[in-house]
Amino acid sequence: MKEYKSDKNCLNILRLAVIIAAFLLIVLCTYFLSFIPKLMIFLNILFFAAGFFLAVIYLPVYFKNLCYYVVSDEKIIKVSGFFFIKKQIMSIDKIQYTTSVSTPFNKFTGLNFFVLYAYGGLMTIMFLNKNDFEELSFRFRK
Amino acid sequence: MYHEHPLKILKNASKNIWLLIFPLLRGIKTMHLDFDVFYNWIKGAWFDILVVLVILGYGYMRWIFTWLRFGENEVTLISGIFIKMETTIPYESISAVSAEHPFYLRPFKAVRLKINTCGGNFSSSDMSLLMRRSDSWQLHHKMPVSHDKKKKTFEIHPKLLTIIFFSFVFSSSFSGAFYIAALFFQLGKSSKDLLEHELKDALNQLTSEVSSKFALSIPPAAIIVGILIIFTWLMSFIFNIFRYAGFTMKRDKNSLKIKMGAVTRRNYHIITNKINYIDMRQNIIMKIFKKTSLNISCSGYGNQKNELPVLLPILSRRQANNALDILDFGKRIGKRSVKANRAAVLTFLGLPLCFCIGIPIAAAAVMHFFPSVSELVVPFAVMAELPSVWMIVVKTLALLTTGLSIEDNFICIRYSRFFSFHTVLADRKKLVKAQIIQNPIQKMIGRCRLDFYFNAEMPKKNKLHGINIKDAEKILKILEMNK
Repeated sequence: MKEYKSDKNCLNILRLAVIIAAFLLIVLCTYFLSFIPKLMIFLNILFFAAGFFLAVIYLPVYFKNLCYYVVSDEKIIKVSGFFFIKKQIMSIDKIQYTTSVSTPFNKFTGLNFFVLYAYGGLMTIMFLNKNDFEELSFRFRK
Repeated sequence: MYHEHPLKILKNASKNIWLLIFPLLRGIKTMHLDFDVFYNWIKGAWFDILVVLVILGYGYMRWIFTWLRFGENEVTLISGIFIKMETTIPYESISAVSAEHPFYLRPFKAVRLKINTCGGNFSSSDMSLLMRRSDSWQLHHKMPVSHDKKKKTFEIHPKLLTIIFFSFVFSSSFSGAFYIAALFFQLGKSSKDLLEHELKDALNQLTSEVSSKFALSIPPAAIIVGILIIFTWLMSFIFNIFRYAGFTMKRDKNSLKIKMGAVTRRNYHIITNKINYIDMRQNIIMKIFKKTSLNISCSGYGNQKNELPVLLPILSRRQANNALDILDFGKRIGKRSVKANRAAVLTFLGLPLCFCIGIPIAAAAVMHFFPSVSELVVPFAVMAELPSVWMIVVKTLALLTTGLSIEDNFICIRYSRFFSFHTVLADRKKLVKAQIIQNPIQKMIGRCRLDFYFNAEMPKKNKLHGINIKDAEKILKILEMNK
């Protein structure tokens, strides 16, 4: 059995993206809604809280829980979730086809994805580092 | 490595057609300044041309960055300019491949290819490509080959009369309306004008002619509804003839090859061991003529709207049995070992009887309380009553024919859904779920509804009404024991 963990670089990139998005929203809100101070303050607090929750609490916990196991080419197990931990098991021989998505600079960003389509459902495999992504890609193609 | 057909550039480009809003806005602006001067227009058109070039350029870039690779064991589609997307389908997973040759693509030697597996999205193809006809043949050469030499090879070309009969019995006003809606949608604005003026006038004229010619006292609204029903049915009938014209089914060692269509030629390549089950459909007319239509459940075949998964359009019982034998389903449609209880009259006829009695009562009530609309109510009540009476006939026959049998490894169930009769034959390995449903009254009298679910991309409930609970339990036990 081999364990695949999500890429830490990807976590930091996503956290940074969330912080930038929240900051931009706060700036835009302050600029355009300054004539309605109450609404502006309410929205600013909302964006700040959402950004803080995502960047500091949700994403680190989600990435910590996110894990994939491949058991001797028979099945793949995905463990994920934030509050409720979800465990999905899929037989590799039931996979009908796969789709892989890779982004530019994936070696540094870890933004690599797999979608495994099987009878009656699908499983997404996200945020793998490039080596793991290529290794799994090879495995699924066998 | 292959590229898709260059026509794909236009399709890719069309997605960004909204960008033309910018030159349009600019055009509106310049119209106020001086639009008579041609030179000024040319001078100003550089931006418009640039936008069109950007759209076409994007389409070209997407086309150039989309690759198709026929590997030893799999077909791979690679796409994306910045974000690379790679879809890999092993040949062994393919259940059906369809190739569409619409008349407007034929001069370009282009073909719309759809590859399907038993997984993925239910309503769409797993891989959809616009390809050169010559490149598409690569895929056919790579399809899995069965090495069972015992399997027979045969070919069937139904006669045109058979196709016309098939189109006649399987046409409906609903699908006709769908075809017309699709047609008007395609025509765009011109269809709006057509509906607003010409069609409206023609309908009014036709209505007045019909009522004057036959000296009918039917209100025009009822005549319009009647004409529309007949017209949409007729459209469905014509579209079905065009769709199924030239139907050919060929069975070889490993697959079924189906060809059909007059305007849009469609070729299907179905892997036989991916067929989930066989569904022999009949309606009352077909029952009278002792004919049946052989359909299959297979991912990627007959899943689209208004498309029937027909394998052999019209067959006699003997021909159907022979066809089943050739398709490796054997001659297993025999006598029912479990039948619906004849006393279950209310289960079968309850609802249509309610409609049959309820419609005249409701019509009488409306006429009593709103006498001004009585002229309108009678024809509509008659129109609604006819299907209810028809349903009573169908369900009476269903009461006499519902049941099932289990022979060797195959399960054969017969039941009725709405106005049609189904005989489903499947390998027991393809049975996913069987369940017994009982309401409190059925619990008291010892009857139930037995439901079967078979392996399919979109599982259908096959409902057997009025079965004795003891028989149903016996069947479940047999199925459980032999799993």
